Amino acid sequence: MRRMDQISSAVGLAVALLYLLEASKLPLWKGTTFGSGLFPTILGTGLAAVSLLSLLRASIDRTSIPLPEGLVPPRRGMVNLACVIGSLAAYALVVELLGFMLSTFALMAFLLIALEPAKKRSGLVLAGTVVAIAYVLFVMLLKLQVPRGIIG
Amino acid sequence: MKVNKALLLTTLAMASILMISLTGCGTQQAQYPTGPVTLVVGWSAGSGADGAARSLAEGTQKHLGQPITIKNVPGAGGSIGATEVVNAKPDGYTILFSTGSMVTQPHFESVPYKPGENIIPVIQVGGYPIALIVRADSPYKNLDDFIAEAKKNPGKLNYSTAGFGSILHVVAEMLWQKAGVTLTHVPFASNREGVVALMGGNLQASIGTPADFLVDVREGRLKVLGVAMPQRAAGLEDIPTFKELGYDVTPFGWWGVAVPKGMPDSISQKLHDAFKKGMDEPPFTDWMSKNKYTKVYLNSADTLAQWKREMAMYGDMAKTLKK
Amino acid sequence: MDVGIGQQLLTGFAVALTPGNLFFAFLGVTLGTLIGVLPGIGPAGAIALLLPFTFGMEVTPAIILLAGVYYGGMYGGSTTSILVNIPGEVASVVTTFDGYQMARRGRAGPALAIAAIGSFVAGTFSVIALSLVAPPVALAALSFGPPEYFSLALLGLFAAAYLSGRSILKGVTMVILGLMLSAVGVDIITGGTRFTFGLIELSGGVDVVPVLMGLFGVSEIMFTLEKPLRMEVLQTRFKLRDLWPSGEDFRASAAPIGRGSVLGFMIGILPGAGAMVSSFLSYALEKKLSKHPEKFGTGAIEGVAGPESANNAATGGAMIPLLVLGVPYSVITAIMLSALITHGVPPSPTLMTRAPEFFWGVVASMYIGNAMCLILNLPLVGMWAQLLLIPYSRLAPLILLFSVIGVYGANSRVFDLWLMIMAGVLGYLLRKAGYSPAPLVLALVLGRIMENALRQSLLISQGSPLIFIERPISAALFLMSLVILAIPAMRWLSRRSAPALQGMEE
Repeated sequence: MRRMDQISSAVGLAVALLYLLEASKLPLWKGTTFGSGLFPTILGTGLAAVSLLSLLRASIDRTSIPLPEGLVPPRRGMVNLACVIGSLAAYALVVELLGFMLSTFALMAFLLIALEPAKKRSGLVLAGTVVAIAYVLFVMLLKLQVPRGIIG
Repeated sequence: MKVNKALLLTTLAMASILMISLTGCGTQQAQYPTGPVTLVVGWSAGSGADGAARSLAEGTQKHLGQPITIKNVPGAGGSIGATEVVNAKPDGYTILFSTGSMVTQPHFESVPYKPGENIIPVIQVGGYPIALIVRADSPYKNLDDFIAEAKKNPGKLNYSTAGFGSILHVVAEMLWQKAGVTLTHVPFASNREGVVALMGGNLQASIGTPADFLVDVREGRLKVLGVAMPQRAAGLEDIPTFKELGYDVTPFGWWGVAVPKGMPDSISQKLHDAFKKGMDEPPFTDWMSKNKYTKVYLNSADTLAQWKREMAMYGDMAKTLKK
Repeated sequence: MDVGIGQQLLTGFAVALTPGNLFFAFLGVTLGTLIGVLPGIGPAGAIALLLPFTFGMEVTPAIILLAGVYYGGMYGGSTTSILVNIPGEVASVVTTFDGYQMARRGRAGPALAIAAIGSFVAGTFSVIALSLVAPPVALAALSFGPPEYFSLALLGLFAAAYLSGRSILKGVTMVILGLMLSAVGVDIITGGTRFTFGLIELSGGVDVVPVLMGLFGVSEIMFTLEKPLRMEVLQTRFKLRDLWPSGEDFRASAAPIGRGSVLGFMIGILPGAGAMVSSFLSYALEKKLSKHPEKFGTGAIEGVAGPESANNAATGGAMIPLLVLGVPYSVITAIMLSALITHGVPPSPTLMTRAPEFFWGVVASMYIGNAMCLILNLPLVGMWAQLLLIPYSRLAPLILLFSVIGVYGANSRVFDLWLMIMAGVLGYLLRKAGYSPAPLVLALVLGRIMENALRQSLLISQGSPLIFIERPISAALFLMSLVILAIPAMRWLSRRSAPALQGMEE
């Protein structure tokens, strides 16, 4: 019995059922052509079938693999992950408010310092330099559209 | 010492960029347009609408003072592109190259745009005839042969258009209705794909506009059985109209430029004037005549009136078509 | 006839090989590589960025520039795949399988070099093949209709499912998930919206770039960072063993490059994501033909040589439906088609004879771009490989920065950033559970095409699903798909008594 596969298959099954639920609201036939519900229904059914198969296989397999040890990362690792996701999310929230340069500088500085707290200074300098170069390269030279915000 | 130097450098870098960028930040609306304008085309590259839009944009650019970039957003008979423009900011930097399918689509599917309400026409620039195309080696010598075959095999003949609810689809269905036949409609993402599928033997007919078939007709791979026009089209004089063959089906499509609701009049006027001049420029006029399309000018108010008329007409038609 | 073609080609080259044009080729490749190296922006993005600058230019230098940008971008995408396991763009996904493993073992140099050489050889082959067989092949390609498109897409997806990871059920799950994602948005055929939950941003569908960056880029960084030890391993024990492929490497790569070229060219002619599908199929082919299939996934150079050649050859192949039939099957060819039309050169089987200067000019330009890419990048292999010496604590934020710029810059939507973040978390969880995200991306890209083909086929057949088996080409492709599924099934059945070896990724 493979625990991990069981869990993921069960999740897959749940996703399939939810998808089918949403897909049932779509028409299967429309006017003179197949409607938008055809493909999703096939997919949802397929996923349900595959998940069931997967679940079965994971359950009847004779090798017994409990949840692997390395599943939950060590504390330092969790902090790293939180930093990455958190800073990206924060960036998404503020970038249009504060503008490209300020937000990107903050993002870079935060990440560089978070991953190597011993070198705060070089982190800041690197963040500043990279943002400056990126701005010149992407916004000024290539005319990429970036949010202006409070400070360009 | 080191600390100060590093911080100083960083601050200098940031400050200089700040200054550069601040000079760029000016009042947005002061002199429209201050940057490139995106003309959204709801059809794929290489289609008739795309060619028209590009040639129009090329000639209009200098009158507008800024480059006009084309963005192709194909799908659903042009409605994905229309949706994008409807949802865009009405600041004049995202505009739509509207086509005839705009007034037919809303009757078949709930699309987020309402012609005349949240998407407003600025100008109309041209018209395109809609034709019935078959392979050159097919057994149909003319439209009557084709209709006869369709009568014998109801539902068995397949024809392609560029999307369910597009003006091509509607005009085709009008023709089938008047002829009393049923065919199976196979929608594709673009007219061209449908024509290619026709050439490959998967279909019996395609509906398209001149850009889709001219080259292939010239080289003998396709032939056109008829076209939906009140009288024979300029440049396509050897193609009979459906009307003279006995089926009174004459709507044709049109092309124009439209913008989301809420745009300041000054910007709309600027766009209208620029495109009007661009219409008369060589890129557009050459392209239109080479591909046998007609240049038609209507200003914003007249176009709006036409939209309303056509919406009503297609609305009635759609009711009889919807199954 | 041959004399004619040879002379035409020479004329084309004469036009293209002026110092000015060579300069543009160099410029294009440089810019393309630089932009392509940035995760999130692939050749299509690079071309879109640089296209406005070509408006004032004449046709030939413009096309040479863009061809250079394209090849440079493709190569840049492979570079990030090999160095940091993050595909620069969709077609480079397969290169991550073995390319990155080679880099981990200090063999980034050989991987990069073989990728460059293979791409060049394949590009040369496809340009030659294009000029020789374009019209007849295109007309033969007409026999590919919607049922064949569907079966081909199915084959590609099953191949991807089979190749990624140890369990085909997991692979198929990923494929279906990708297809489910592709259904989000407006239905191209009927115009109705689905699975958008009221969000306007979703009405255009799920964009593949944020998903790609999230699934591969963000999740890769997360995966490395979750165990601080991993990061240190990458940082300290890293030594560059070789910078150049050995004789053995060359010998091993020769045949895969040849096969990849031919396969890529053929697949490129057909609709669908030609480059991506061809790279997957090439990988599958090489694995099948190899005497040591178990080496694939741990750093087999064949796994880099084949797919890299295939996706470059697919470019040449994709030119055929473009030039002869006027149907663009990718973003690049769509851009080129618009260029063709505005310059008054409508595509048709007689394009080659009607406008030979144009055609051969384009062919020669593509070739120069291809060659310039090799000339520029081969000496730089050492430099690229040294990028790996940057400590990960500095490299990771840089990667994230460029991903963010690439994702936001594409459509200027914050929503895409959120997509990337969610895809990142999803990718991380998937990898922990033993799923490989590659098939998901392929399915996301192929989904629309597959769905349209399915519905069109059923309409053509008046509702009969047998159409997929009745037509010979479709039947053959369909059968191959089933065979791919059957292999693991039979293996499982015969091995049920012996314990299967399972292990977590380290």
